[in-house]
Parts: sequence; C-alpha cells; structure tokens
Amino acid sequence: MRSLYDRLVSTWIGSLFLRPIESVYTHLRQNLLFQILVVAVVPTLFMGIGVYYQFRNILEQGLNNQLTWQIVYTQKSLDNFLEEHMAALSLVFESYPIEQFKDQKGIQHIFTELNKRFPNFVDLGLVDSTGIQKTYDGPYSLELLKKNYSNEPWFQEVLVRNRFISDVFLGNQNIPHVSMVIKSQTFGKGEFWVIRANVNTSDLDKMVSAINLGSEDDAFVINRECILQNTSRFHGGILSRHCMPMHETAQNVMWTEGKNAKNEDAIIAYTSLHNKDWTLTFVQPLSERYKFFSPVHRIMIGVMISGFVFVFMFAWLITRNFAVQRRQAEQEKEAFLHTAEQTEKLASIGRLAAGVAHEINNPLAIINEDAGLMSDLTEISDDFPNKKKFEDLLRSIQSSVKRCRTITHRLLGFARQMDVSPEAIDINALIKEVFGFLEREAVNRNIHFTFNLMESLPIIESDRGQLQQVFLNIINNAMDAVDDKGEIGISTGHKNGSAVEVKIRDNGCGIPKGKLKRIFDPFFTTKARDKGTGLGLSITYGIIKKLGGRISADSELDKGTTFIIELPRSYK
Amino acid sequence: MKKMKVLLVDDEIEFVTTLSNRLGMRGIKTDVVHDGEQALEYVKKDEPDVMVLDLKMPGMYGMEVLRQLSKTNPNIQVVILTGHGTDRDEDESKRLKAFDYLRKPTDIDTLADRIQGAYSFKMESIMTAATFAEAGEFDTAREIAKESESPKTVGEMFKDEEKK
Ligand SMILES: Nc1ncnc2c1ncn2[C@@H]1O[C@H](COP(=O)(O)OP(=O)(O)OP(=O)(O)O)[C@@H](O)[C@H]1O
Ligand SMILES: [Mg+2]
Repeated sequence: MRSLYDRLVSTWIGSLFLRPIESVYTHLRQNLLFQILVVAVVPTLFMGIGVYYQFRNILEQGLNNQLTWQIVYTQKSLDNFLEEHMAALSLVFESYPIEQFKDQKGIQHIFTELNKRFPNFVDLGLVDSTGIQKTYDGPYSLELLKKNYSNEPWFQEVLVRNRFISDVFLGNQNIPHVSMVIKSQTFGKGEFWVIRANVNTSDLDKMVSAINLGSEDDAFVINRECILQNTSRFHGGILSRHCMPMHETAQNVMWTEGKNAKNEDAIIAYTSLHNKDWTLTFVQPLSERYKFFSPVHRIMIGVMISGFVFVFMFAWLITRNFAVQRRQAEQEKEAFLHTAEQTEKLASIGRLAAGVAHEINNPLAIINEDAGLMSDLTEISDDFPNKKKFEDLLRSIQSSVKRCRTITHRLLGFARQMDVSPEAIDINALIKEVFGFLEREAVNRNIHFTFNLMESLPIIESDRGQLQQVFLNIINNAMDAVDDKGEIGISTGHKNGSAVEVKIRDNGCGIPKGKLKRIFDPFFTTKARDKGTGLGLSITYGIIKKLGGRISADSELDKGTTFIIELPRSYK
Repeated sequence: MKKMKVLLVDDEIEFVTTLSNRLGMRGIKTDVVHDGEQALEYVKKDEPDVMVLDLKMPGMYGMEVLRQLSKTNPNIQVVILTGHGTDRDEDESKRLKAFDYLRKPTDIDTLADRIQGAYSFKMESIMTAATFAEAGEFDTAREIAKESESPKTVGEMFKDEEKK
C-alpha cells in the first residue's frame, strides 16, 4: 500500500517538474492558435453579421420598392377600368337625346353602339325619377321592365351623388359584375332620368395578377366589409369574407404585418382605389420572403465558412512555424550557451593554470639545480655512509621534478594565447607527417595503422602547429587505448561539401557512457599518475574551437572509439 | 682557440649560483649578474660569447636586454632560459635572433649542450667569414659577418686570426 502511494506521489511530482519539453510547445501553440482565431474570427463574425443585415435591408427595400410599383400600377389600372366605363356611360348619356333612351328601339341601338366599343357592358337601362325601369336592353329584358327601384340603396345614393358604382355581385351565368349608375340633371318639376348599366368585372383578376406573385403570395381586391371583389389564390373566392388588419383608406401603398389565410406571419401591403371604396391588398408570408433571401444566406454562410477555414489553416501554419522556429531557436541557444560555457571554462582554467605553472617553474628550477648539484657532488665524492641511499633519493627528486615539469609545460601549452597563424594546409600530408613522429612506437608495439585518405581533399587554411598538436593528442590517446597489435584507422573526407572531416578510429578499450561527456574536461584522465595529465583532449578541444571546427567522440565500451573532427575550409 | 666566455643573467640568486657551479663542474666557466642593467654594463666592459638570459626580472626585462644586444652586440649568442615564457615571447626572441629558447626547469646537460652549440655556431660563422676574406671575397665575408657582427669587430677578428 505504502509503496504504491509513494510511487504515485513521486510520479505526480515527477510529471510536474519533468514536464516534457514537447508539451510546452504544444501548449504554447494551442494558446497562440486560440488567440489568433479569436482575434480573427470575432470581428469577422461581427462584420459578417453586420454586412448581412445591411445587405438584407437593401435587398428588402429593393423588393418592397418593386412591389410598391407593381401595386400602384395595378391600382391605377383598376381605377382606370372603373373610370373608363363610367366615362363611356356618361358620354353616351349626354350624347344621345333623352327621347331615344325612352324608346325601346332607341336604347337597343345605343347599347349596341356602346357594346361595340366597350364589350364589358352587358346591359343598359333607363329609370325615371320615381325609380321605375322605363326601357332596358340586355339579357334580363323581360324581368326588369317596369321594375321599381325606388327603395334600392343605389337609387337612394345616386339621388345624392349623381353617380354610383356598386360592389361586385354575381349576375347572369355567375359572372361577376358591378352596376354603374348615372343621374341626369333635374328638369322642371323635379323630374330627372337615371341610366344604369352592368359591367362584367372578370378582367379584375387579370389586372390584379399583374403583380408579380411568388408561389405563396396573394393579391386581391376587397371592399369595406371585407368582401373579396375578385377571386384570390388562398384567401377565398369572390364574395367570400376575409378581414385584414388595415386602415380605412390609404392614399399611398401602406405596409403592415399580420397573418395570411394559413395563419402564417406575413407582410401585408395595401392601397385604396380612387374611384371606389375598395382596397387592393397584397399578402406575402415571411417564409416566402426568406425564400427570396436564401441565396444570400447561402452565399454569406459560404463566404464566412470558407473565410474561417482559411483563417484556421493560416493560423495553424503560422503557429506551427512559430513553434518550430521557437524550439529551434531555443535549442540553438542552449547549444550555444553550452559551448560558450565550455569555452569560457577552458579559458579561465587556462589563465589560472598558466599563472600557477609560471610561479611553480621558478622554485622547481631551484629544486632541480640544487638536487642536480647535490648529485653532481655525491658523484665526485669518495664513498661515504649512505652514499647509495643519497643517490637514490636524489634521482627520485629529479624524476619528480621532471614530472612536475611535464605538467607545467603542458599547462602552459593549454593556456597558449592561441594566435592562429594561418597557412594553406593539406590535411592528408599533415596526418602523414604526424604519423611520422609516432611510427617508431607503432612499429615497436605492433600497432597497425590503416589510412583511407580522400585524394581530392580540399586544401584548407588553418594553423599547422596547432593541428599537429591536435592529431598528435588524439592518435596518442588511441595508441594508449589499444593493446599491442591494435588497429587504428584514419580517414579523411568531405562533410557537406565545404568542410574537411577526419575520423580517427581505434579498436581499443572504449569509453563508458558516463565518462564520454567528461573527456574534454581539463584534468580528466583515467591514466596512471605519471602517464596522463588529462589535458590532451581539452587542449585539443580549445584548438579546434579556435580554428572554427568541431570535434566529437563516439565510443562503445570494449569495441573502440572514434573521434570526428570537422574543419572549415578557411579559418575566419 | 680562445676560451669561451659565458654570462648568466638571472635574478634568482640561489638558482643562478648553483647553475653556475654545476656548469663549472662541466667545464663551462661562467660569470653571473642579477638583472638587465648589470648585464648591459658587463657587456660594455667585456663582451661574452654566450649569454644565458632569464626573461622575467625586476627592472629591465630580459626581452629588452635581448633587443638592445641585437642592435649593439649582435655577435653575442643568447640562450633564453625562463619559467614564464609564453609562445609570443618565444616568437619574439626568435625574431631577435636568440640562439635558443629553453623553459625552466631544464636538464643541466641540455643547457650545457646548447651553450656549447651557441659557441660553435658563433665560431663557425666567424670562420666562414674569415675564409671568404682570405680568398679575397670581402663582400661575401662582410655579408656573412654582418649577420653576426659589426664591421669593426670583423677587423679585430682578422687581427686575432693573425696573432694565432
Ligand atoms: N581513444 C580513446 N580510447 C579510450 N579512451 C580514451 C581515448 N581518448 C581519450 N580517452 C579517455 O579520455 C581521457 C582524457 O584524455 P586526454 O587526452 O584529455 O588526457 P590523457 O590522455 O589522460 O592525458 P595526456 O593527454 O595529458 O597524456 C583519457 O584518460 C581516456 O580515459
Ligand atoms: Mg592524451
């Protein structure tokens, strides 16, 4: 139980501190992506909605204007229809002498003439001031003669207004009609005449249909009592009743909202006629309006969505690049800091080491000379007690001094100013030269060298002496690492076309993983006290850095080690 | 052949005395001074053949001594022996025609060897000059002599040769 708990806690703490670097960048990227999207999408959304409503308003206005024109046009033609027939009737009344109207033959002639020009007139009759039908020509000749109209509302009204147009009614063969009535001037003794004609109004439907109707729209003419004067599409047939919310009279086209016959929300436009108390009504359900806007919707939504997709893709790419670049920059920075640290470390250790070496050299020289003198003296003196012992001790002092000397001289080499004196160098030749220094030992120890030197290797500009030291150090190490009869391979080649690359491979003891990192540190050595100072590779590292190159090591324990050196074509 | 004259210049009295002692035991007689001024003074009175010179000394630095000698007494062969030298010092001393550059502590036999070497180098170049002079090739002789000596000293040299 306990250990499980511990493990849980420690993994949790571990995850807190060892948050993988990847997730930091993913997180950063998500944040950025979110911000960009918010910044890009929100205003676009607002703008899109704004533009949409603006656009819709303009469209709607356009649509309304168009409808208004059509409605006005229809109203005019309806008015014209009534006006025209009234005018024709009144012209006829004034043109023919009254005697001709009173005569049955005469009125027949007049009607025939009238009907020739205005085929919508279906009959014509004369009524005297007492309301009795005097003469008549039309389909009802027999029934209507002598009929008394004195109590009819139209007769009453024409007495007052001189002219009258009735609402629509269904007459002969169920054809819709209106009656038009005109009263003459009053003659002596209050005597006057009235003519009455019925007009076929089937044409009203045609006129109303001049309004451009959508599949759900409707238009019709209605009177004050909500009785339809023509046949509508959805709001009932002729003479049916359908009330709409509107004002009594409307000189211009009025717009309002209400319900249509199917009880849907609708827009209603209406206007009154001038010649009759009728109202021309247009009804358009909102759904029909939306149908009209739906292409606009589709375009808007399409534009928005493709915009968002574009923004998203763009943001995705940007943030990905950003994250990648940021990670690269950070890695580079880290690498740079690492090398800078290493170089700085080397430099300061170098300065300290040089100081110490210098100061030690002088007392060391005194010890050397004193011990030297002592041994010179013992050599020439006669035998004395412990002479042999003295000689041994003095030899030991002198060899210790020699050891110290090796160290201080190497330290000085380490701290060299490293002024580079550049010259043209053939690396292959230089390697052969360095091998020359070591050949004797190699032969003695039976170490086999193989060279694989690229012939067309570019000549580089670098420092000969320092490069010699570099290869000497590395080959020396390799020779220390291999047993007698070991193998050491040296190869040269290009790297990325511009630099020279040298690989020095041995099949020696190898370097354990944990120590590989430290081999370039000053004073790191695994060799016996008087065999290695641990400065060889750190000096090498410093030189290669100075020369603008790179050095790295690869090793497998008990298999061998490879050092890889890259050098630039020219020393900057 | 006349006896070789060697001057040791070093401010570490203990060191330089012991060194002088040991060189003496190896058959090289030496005089000792302890700073640059003394060295130049000594040279004015009695020019040595070989000078073993330390670089870091109180007062005048060894490099300065070398620079002056290269102008006034170019025939003195100078062996630098120092515990402080940098690469730049080494380059500079080579440019000023020092015979060799050794680092302290050094092996006594190496040092003795170099002193001998310096002396024979000096003698050889004088001999060559003399041979050319005998053959009547004064220009060549002068040229060779110029490398290590001033014309006046070449004249003295002829006298020396004659006396022998
Ligand atoms: N080729 C190699 N094979 C195995 N180990 C190596 C090899 N080269 C270097 N090393 C290891 O790296 C250490 C440091 O090498 P470096 O040259 O800096 O010092 P050193 O060889 O020990 O001393 P110095 O060079 O002064 O003689 C060595 O002690 C050794 O352990
Ligand atoms: Mg080494």
